[in-house]
Amino acid sequence: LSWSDHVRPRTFTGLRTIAALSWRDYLAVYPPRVLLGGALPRAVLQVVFIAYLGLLAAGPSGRDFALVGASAQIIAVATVAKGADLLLEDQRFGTLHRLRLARLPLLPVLATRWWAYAAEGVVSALLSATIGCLLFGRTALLPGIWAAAGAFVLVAASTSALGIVSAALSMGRESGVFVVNLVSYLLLVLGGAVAPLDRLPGGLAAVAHVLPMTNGLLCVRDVLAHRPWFGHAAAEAAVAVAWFAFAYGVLLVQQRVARAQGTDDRE
Amino acid sequence: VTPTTLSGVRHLLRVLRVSALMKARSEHATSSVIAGVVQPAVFLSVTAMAGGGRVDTRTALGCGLAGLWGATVWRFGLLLRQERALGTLPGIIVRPAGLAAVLIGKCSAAVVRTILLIAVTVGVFTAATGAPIRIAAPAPFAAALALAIVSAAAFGLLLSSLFVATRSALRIAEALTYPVLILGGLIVPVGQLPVWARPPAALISLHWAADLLTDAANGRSGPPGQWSALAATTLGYAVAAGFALRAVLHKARAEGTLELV
Repeated sequence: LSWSDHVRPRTFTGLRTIAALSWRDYLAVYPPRVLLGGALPRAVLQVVFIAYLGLLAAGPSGRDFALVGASAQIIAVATVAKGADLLLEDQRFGTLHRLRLARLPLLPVLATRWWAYAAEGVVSALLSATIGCLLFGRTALLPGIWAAAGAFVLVAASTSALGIVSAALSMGRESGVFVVNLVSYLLLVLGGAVAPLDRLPGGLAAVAHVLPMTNGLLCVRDVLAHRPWFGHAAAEAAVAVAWFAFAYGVLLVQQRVARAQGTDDRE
Repeated sequence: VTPTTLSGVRHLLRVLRVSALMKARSEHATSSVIAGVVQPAVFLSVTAMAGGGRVDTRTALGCGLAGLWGATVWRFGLLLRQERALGTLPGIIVRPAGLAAVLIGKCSAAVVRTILLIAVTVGVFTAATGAPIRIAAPAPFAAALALAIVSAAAFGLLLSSLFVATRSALRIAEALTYPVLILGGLIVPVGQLPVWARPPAALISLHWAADLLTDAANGRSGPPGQWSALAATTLGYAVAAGFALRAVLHKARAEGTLELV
């Protein structure tokens, strides 16, 4: 059988099924009443709170800077802190071996399952930014933020890769929830969300550029300032690819260790 | 004071001590680290970086209280659910010590651990940025801090009783965190908020605690009205927690439905 005759249609059908199941799984955990009453208001309030921190520290310009940054960082709350549950719960419920036995490699399966959280992240970011702008009377920022929606999608992709890596490294450890929350909080500090990257101490600014979100957020700021944005968008895409490659490596090593040592069954 | 009363008090203290010790020993090393270290450190870092490298005393203390609030929701508020998940809730309820004493003991352990972590985090951070917090009036500071801790524990017990009765506890906890951080004026002064958003701060005990702690750090003991407000909100939380605990016990004993949530 050739790729075009058999494998490609089966692969795409499989991924489509996974995407549909992932959506149903997401709705089971976050039904509309929970989304509207909990998750989305939390996202909006977190962004407004961070914007107030910016206002407190650096006045109105600091507030605008933090409002945009916090809107991008809220994506990581969905793709890292929440999305990680997909993998952590598969391990907890003993269903991970089924994924490992599947014909499709684990990374594309996980990346496809992550889409609902990536979508939540993008919606949360745009909604939070919009409400934040209305609340602070900064409607002038809105067209730029919506024009930069593509950059938010890039951030969702790159932080999803970070979420997969974080979840994979947390599996089988009691500190799993701690690790994914820590990663999400660190992005707020290191990603240039509230303060410009040049305020980071030492060589941390260089490290920040290889983290998901940093370049995507710079791209959003470029769009808002009517500067050329393609360079930062390309950098964010490259970072996303690199983190997915890293995730692939981590999952591959983990699969070998799981077969040899039975670590999937470790609680 | 009769010997029976003395014996009862001694018994209660022993239950509190044993419950606190059990909680302290059973906790994972990373528990309380998000609320006690990560959250205050992140809020301090971003505020300092955006503001030119330093944070003032009010902001630093507010970041600590924000961590205490995070612990109230995510640590103390989930105590009863953890007992139910571990299958130990019925065992606690049927013993003579009672649910309230065991919960208060366990909550105390979590509070002490969190407060210690917050104190170290805020202290080290402010010292490292060259603006260490100096407490000019230690007695009022200690009194305000003690009341804030009791208040957080009382609210945590109230949340714990409510969270155990709903399947959406985690989602509610998620939604509850930031409104208090914004409306309570813990870090950002209430005066920065729109006028319509200022009144709810009066119902949040940590708002009064933030004002009193800042006053004490600056050498003032704070106006009596603020002390009264902190005491009154704390008492209100404690009374509400008492009613909520009774409702939980009723669900568990009379209706037998607590495990069905």
